[in-house]
Amino acid sequence: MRLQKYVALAASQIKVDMAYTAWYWASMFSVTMRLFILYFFWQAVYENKTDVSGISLSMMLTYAVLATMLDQFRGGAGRELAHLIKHGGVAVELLRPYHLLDKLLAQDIGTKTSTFFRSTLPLLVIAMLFIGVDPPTSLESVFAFSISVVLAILLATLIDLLVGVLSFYTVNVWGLSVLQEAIITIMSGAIIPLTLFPDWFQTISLYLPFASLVYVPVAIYTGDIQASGIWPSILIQLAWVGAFFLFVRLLFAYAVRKVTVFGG
Amino acid sequence: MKRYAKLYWLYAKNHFKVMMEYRMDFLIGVLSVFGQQFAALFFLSIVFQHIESLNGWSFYEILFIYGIAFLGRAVHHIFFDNLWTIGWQYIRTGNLDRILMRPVNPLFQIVAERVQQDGFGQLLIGGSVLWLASNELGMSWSVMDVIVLLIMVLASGMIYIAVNLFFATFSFWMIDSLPVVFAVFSLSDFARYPMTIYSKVIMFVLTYIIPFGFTAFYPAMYFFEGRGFTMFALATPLVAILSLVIAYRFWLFGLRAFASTGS
Amino acid sequence: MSQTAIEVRDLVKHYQILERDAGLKGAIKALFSRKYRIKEAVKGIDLSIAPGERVGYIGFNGAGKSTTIKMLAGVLRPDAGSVRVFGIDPHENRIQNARQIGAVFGQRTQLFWDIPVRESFDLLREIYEVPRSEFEETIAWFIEQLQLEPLLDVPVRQLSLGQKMRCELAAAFLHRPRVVYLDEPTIGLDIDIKETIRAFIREISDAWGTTVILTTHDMQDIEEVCDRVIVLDEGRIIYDDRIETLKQTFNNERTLEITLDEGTTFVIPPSVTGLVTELASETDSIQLAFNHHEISSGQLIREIVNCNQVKDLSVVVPKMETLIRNLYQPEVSA
Repeated sequence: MRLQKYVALAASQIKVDMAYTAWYWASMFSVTMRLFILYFFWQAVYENKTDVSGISLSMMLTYAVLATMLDQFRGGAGRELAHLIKHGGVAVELLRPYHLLDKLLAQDIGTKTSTFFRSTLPLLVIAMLFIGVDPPTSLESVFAFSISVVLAILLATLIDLLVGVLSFYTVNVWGLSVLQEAIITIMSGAIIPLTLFPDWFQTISLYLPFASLVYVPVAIYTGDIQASGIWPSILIQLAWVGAFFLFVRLLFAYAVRKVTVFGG
Repeated sequence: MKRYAKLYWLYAKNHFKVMMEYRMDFLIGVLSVFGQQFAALFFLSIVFQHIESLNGWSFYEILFIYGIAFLGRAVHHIFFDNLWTIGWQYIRTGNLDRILMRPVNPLFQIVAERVQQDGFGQLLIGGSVLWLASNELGMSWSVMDVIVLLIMVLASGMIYIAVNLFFATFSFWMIDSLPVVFAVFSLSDFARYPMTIYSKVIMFVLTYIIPFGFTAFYPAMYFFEGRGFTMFALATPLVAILSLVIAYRFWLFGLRAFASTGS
Repeated sequence: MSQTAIEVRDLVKHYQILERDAGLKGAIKALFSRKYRIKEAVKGIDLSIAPGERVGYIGFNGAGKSTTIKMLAGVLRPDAGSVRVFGIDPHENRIQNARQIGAVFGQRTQLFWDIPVRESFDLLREIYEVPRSEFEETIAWFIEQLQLEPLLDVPVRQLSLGQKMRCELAAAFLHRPRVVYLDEPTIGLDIDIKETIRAFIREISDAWGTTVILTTHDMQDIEEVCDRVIVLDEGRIIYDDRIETLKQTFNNERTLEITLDEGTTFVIPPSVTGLVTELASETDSIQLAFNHHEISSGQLIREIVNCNQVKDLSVVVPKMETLIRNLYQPEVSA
C-alpha cells in the first residue's frame, strides 16, 4: 500500500525522462566519445608495454568502460532537492503525504532504472564491439559485482542528497555540487584504478566513502579485488550506505525544523 | 567599438557586484574548477608514474598541450559562456525580443549579460601548467614567442566560441539546441591529447569538420621543434577567424529566420 | 505636426507554424523536410498615428495585437505592406529605430534581474547613449512621479509586481523615446498603482509629445490615458476613432433594469414599442435597452410604472467596457 505510492512516483519519473529524447541522444554520443578517447589513450599507453603495475591492456579497458558506465549513475536527487529549496517548492512538498526524501529516492530509482536500460546496456554493447570488455572471472564475482553496483549507486544518491540538504544552509548550491563532482571524480577511481595511485593516497581512500562508489564494484568484476577481499569490501559499502542514510535523514529533519520554526 | 568596450565594462562591473553577494559560492566555485582541472592533471601524472612516454610524447609535452586547451577554454568560458543559454534563456522565453528592441548588437548583449567568474580559476591553472611545462621542457621564450602564444590562445578560444555559437544557433529551428551543443563539445576532450594517438578518421574530423584540433594540439606544435604539423600550427589563427565568420554568418541567418517566423 | 509618427500600409503577417515532432529526431527531420501550418495573424492593416497621440490598441487574445507591435518595433519582418516609424523602416533599420522607441512588454523585464534598479538605469543610459545631464534630469522627474526613491537600491528580483512595473515604465521612457509601446502595463496591479501609472504616462506624453501605443484589457486604462481607440479582431481593424466619438456614439444608450412584484407578468406599454429593446429577461427581472435621445428616461419610467407592478428599477449608463464589447457583437448593441 505505502510502497505503491513510491513505485508510481518512480514510474512517472521514467516517463518524464523518456520525454527528453534530445538529451538522451546527446549523452549517448558524449559517453561514446569518452569511451573512444579512453580507448585511444590506453592503446597509446600500452604501445610498448604488456602491463602497467600488473594490469593488462584488456583489463584496463574493461575497468575504464565499467567505471565510465557506473559514473553515469552519480546523482540527480540532490540537485532536484536543491532546486526545490532554492525556488521555494520545498514548502509545498513538505505538505504532501509522503516523505520528501523517499519521494526523491523513488524518482531517482526511476531515473536510474531507465538509464540502465536505455543507456548503459546499449553503451555496453558498443563497448564490447569496439573496445573489448573482458568476461567476468567467476560466477561469484558476477554475483558480488551486482550487489556492489547497487550499493555504489545507492551511496552516490545519498551523497548527492546530502549536498542537496546542505542547500538549506547555503543560498546557492552550485559551488558545493561542483566541489562534490571534483572530489568524487578523483577519489572514487572513476578515471583510473586506485591501485595505480601512490600508497599514501590508497591509505587515505580506505577511510573515505568514495572508493565504494566506483572502484570497489569495478575492481570486484575485474578481479583486482581478490576473492577473499570481496565480501569485506561489500560490508564496508553497506556500512557507508547505512551511515549516509541516517546522516541525511537527521540533517534533513533538523533543517526542516529550522525552516518551519524560523520561516526559512 | 569604444562604446561597446565601455558597455561591456559596465555589464561586467554589475556582474561582479552581484557575484560579491554570493562570495562564498564564488570562492567554492573557483576552487572546484581548480579541482576539476586538477583531476585531469592528476590522472595524467599517475599514468606517467608508470610509463615514460605516450606514443612518443613526454609528460610535459602533453602538459603543455593541456595548458593551451585550458587557456583557450577559459577565454570562451569567462566571456562567452552565455552562448550556451541562447535557446532556453533568450529564444524560447521571448527575451530575444527585448534585446532586439535595443540599439545595440543583439549577440553582444547576450554575451555581455554574463561573465563566468570561475573561468578565472581555469585561466590561472592553465597559465601555471603552461609555465611549469615550458620550464621542464627547457623552452626559451622570445618576445615574439609570447606574442604568438597569446595569439594562439586567443585563436583557441575563438574556435570554442565559434563552435558554440554555430550549434547554439540551431535553437532558432529546434526547441533548444543545448543537447546538440553539449554533444559536440564532448568532442573537445579529444583535443587535450596529442592527435597522433587517434585514428585517421578522428584526426580528419577534428581538423576539417569540427576544428577542435586547433584548440590545443596544433597551436602547441608551433612551440615544439621537430614534431611536424608546422603548417597546421601556423594556420591556427586563420582557422579561428574562418570558423568565427562562418558561425556569425549562420547566426545572422538564424536571426533573419527569427524575424520572419518569430518562433 | 507635418510628419506622422507611425504610418502603416497594407500590413500583412502570416506565421508559418512549424509542425514538428518532439525530440531530436523530430528536430532533425524538421531541418530537412518541413510541414507548415499557416496562421494569418495580421491581414492587411492601415494605420496613421500622429506624433503625441495616445492610442489604445485592443482586441481579444490572438487578434494580432502583439504581432503588429512586434512589427512596429522591428522585431518581426512584415510579409507584405510597409511600416514607417518617423520615416524609419523598423525592421531594415532596426538599431536606428530602437533608439527612438521604448517598450514595456508585460512580464518580460527591461531591467537587469540581479542588479539594483539604479544600476539598471545607468546601464540603459549607456545603451541608449543618453547624455548625463539629460539623464539626471529625467531620472529626478521619474523618481518623483513614480515614487521610485525607496526602490533604487533594491535588486530587481526583490521587487513586488507593482514596484517592478513602475521601474519598467521609467526604464521604457528613460531615453525620451518618440514612441512607446506598452503591453498590459497595469495587469494585476492595485488600483492606486494603476492610477499612478496612468497619470505618469499622460504627463510624460504631454510633456515630451511622446506617441503611446497601449494594449490592455483594462478599459479604465484606455479611458484615462488614450485619446484614440483602435479595435483589432482576427487580424483586421474593426474600429478606429477618437475616444470621444466612441463615447458619443453610445452616449445616449441606456439600460433600464426592472424588478416586478412576484407573480405579475411584464407588459410593454404600447406607447413605447419600437423605442425599446428587450434584453435578457427573466420572469421577474427585465432589462430594456433604449436611446436616451428618442425617449427620455423619465418618460419611459412613467410609462412602465403605469402598466406594471414594479418593485424596483434603475437606469444604467453603459461603461466603456460594454461599449467595446458592443463593437465586437453589433447585433446585441442595437
